Amino acid sequence: MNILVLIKQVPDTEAKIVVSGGKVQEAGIKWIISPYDEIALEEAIRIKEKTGGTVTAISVGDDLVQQSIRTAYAMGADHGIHIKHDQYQMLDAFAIASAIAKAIEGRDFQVVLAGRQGSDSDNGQVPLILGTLKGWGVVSFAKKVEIDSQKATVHVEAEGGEAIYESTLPVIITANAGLNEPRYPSLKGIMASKKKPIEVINFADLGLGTVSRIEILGFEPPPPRPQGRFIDGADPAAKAKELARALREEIKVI
Amino acid sequence: MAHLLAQIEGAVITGQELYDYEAYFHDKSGLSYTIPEYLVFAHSRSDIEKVVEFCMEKKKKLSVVGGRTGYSGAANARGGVVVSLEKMNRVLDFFKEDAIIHVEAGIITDAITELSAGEGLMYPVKFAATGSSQIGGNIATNAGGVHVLRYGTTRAQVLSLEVVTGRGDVLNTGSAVLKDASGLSLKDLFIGSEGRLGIITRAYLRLVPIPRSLVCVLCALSCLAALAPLAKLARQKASLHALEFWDLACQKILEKKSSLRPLFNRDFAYYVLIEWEAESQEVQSVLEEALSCSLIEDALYAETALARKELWKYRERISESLSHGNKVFKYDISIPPFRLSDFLRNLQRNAPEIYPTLNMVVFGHLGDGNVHLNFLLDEKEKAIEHNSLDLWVYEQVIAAGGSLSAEHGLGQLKRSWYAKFFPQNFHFQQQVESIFDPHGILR
Repeated sequence: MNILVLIKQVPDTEAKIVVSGGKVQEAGIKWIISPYDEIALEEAIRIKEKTGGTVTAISVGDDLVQQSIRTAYAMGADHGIHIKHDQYQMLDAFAIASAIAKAIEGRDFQVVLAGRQGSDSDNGQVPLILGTLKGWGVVSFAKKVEIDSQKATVHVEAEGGEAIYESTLPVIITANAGLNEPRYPSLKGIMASKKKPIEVINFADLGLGTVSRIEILGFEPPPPRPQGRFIDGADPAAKAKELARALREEIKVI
Repeated sequence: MAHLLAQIEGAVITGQELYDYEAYFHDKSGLSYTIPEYLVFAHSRSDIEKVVEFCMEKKKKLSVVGGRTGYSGAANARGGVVVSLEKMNRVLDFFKEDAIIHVEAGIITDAITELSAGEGLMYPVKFAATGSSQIGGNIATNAGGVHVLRYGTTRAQVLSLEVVTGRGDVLNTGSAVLKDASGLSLKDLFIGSEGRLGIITRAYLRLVPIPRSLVCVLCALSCLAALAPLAKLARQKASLHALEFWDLACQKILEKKSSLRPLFNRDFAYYVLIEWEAESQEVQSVLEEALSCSLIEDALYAETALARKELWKYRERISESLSHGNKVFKYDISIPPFRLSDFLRNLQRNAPEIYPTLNMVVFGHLGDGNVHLNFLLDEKEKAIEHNSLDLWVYEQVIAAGGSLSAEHGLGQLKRSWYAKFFPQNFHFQQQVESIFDPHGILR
């Protein structure tokens, strides 16, 4: 079973995001594999460990994303493909899915795993568009996955219960939280991963041209929170009255 | 109600109602306590002054409680009056530029970090209970925790204190500056005093910048002998943040009681959690060296904030999972780090001779030699006399040049042992106590 895992590199969930000049300032940000993608990767490695085959991690971005591909190696991925694009932040989901579809042409994958959404943009579109481009089925939000040589059985949380989908292969499956707990990359794995080559494909060489349908105009930070106001005074009743007045007349919530 | 307590701004609980507040009368030690006549939720320093005056006048014992997360019974009620500072939890001032914060003693420890995180600052003392412990209690016990190696104990964070002494004076211990060489350091007397000199009401604390990038690694070791050389190797990185360890018995109990999964595909004798303020590439060379000299068998990396939190859960949940369904004798001791391996080896060798079935479980802070020794007792062993076990442990601690209490304080648990092993020190401690608490209301 050959499995492809889509990996997005995102800022660490605790990183402080600074937006200025219409851009996210990347200095000082620690980059990690998006947590849902890490779950997808773990699932792929578990399937491989059970049934054999290979796990290939693919990521679109500048040279930094090679770090995440190395982490995927350290966890147990066999191959890594880096689709190189230095201005990848300006690509939309359609462009990224198109690049991946093109890059895997002629390669034999029966299962594609990806996180349900990236933890930075929360778009969740790339796996769906990839499915459409390739004509493969997509099952989203998997919480349990079983694969045999013919089909995939995917359990998904549904309103008040559980939905079970069966799909022919190839299939694209997106991982929900709770599907598994990803392993930690081990020292020995990291040491071995350093020697592994990463296949680099230039985005421009894929012959897609200007493929983005959506133009990102810019990023803006959320407005700062207004300062809190203290109601002073010694008399609790007067303070309560003032609070009620402010809520009714100034903020107009009561 | 007694006259002075009636003037208190905060709440005073008395009579039958006290039974609803049982949790305020003891810490986590399981040691005995006496239900007080009054429980006071102080709202201000002046409330505390009134309580002290009341206790002096009526000759009542006064116990001060913070988050009650201690393990030595220092906060347990002794009848009389219990005063809680949990309502005194305000931030009074925040000097962002100087990274100094002025707080009331009842503020929850972790809340200080939450409040200062927006400025890129944090309060550096961190341990399993800082989500519910209060800063006043931390100061009164000179709390240590997992970052002592990098930032020192609570003592290193306190710039100045406001205290109501056992005689009712309001004492400001000095200026809120890092350097203060004005004779005897009064604040240092109150830090670690376990509420026996006075009641800490306010504190100026230093804050530190939030570390830029932390790498957390869990190492697997096959023998005790590797602990010290690994610690030495890890310390060569100046940016070492934490160096913690636990043994296989802890790991097994964690997996069973805390539903944490096994981390490696086989068992190892010891697990060492190391955290550096560094990039993972810098740490890599240290670990590769450790692997090549067979100090470690393997290591796991937690590079993301989420993974780091997950890995820390193993260390943080040890204490509670040991107590879960077991009778445990706990010892919080310090050993000079370079003698730690020998000390543990001796304990393991000697244990069977004294108590053939003694189930010893070890974890703690490898970096500073603070070991938490735990003896799990099953039904048969309940008969073991606590006193003789204490003596056996403490004699070996003293022989190794260690301290009877690393971070839990003397409390009720160790005061008599301290007096036995360090009679002269104990005598001077008592002298100082009688200056600040001449009527003995706090002791």
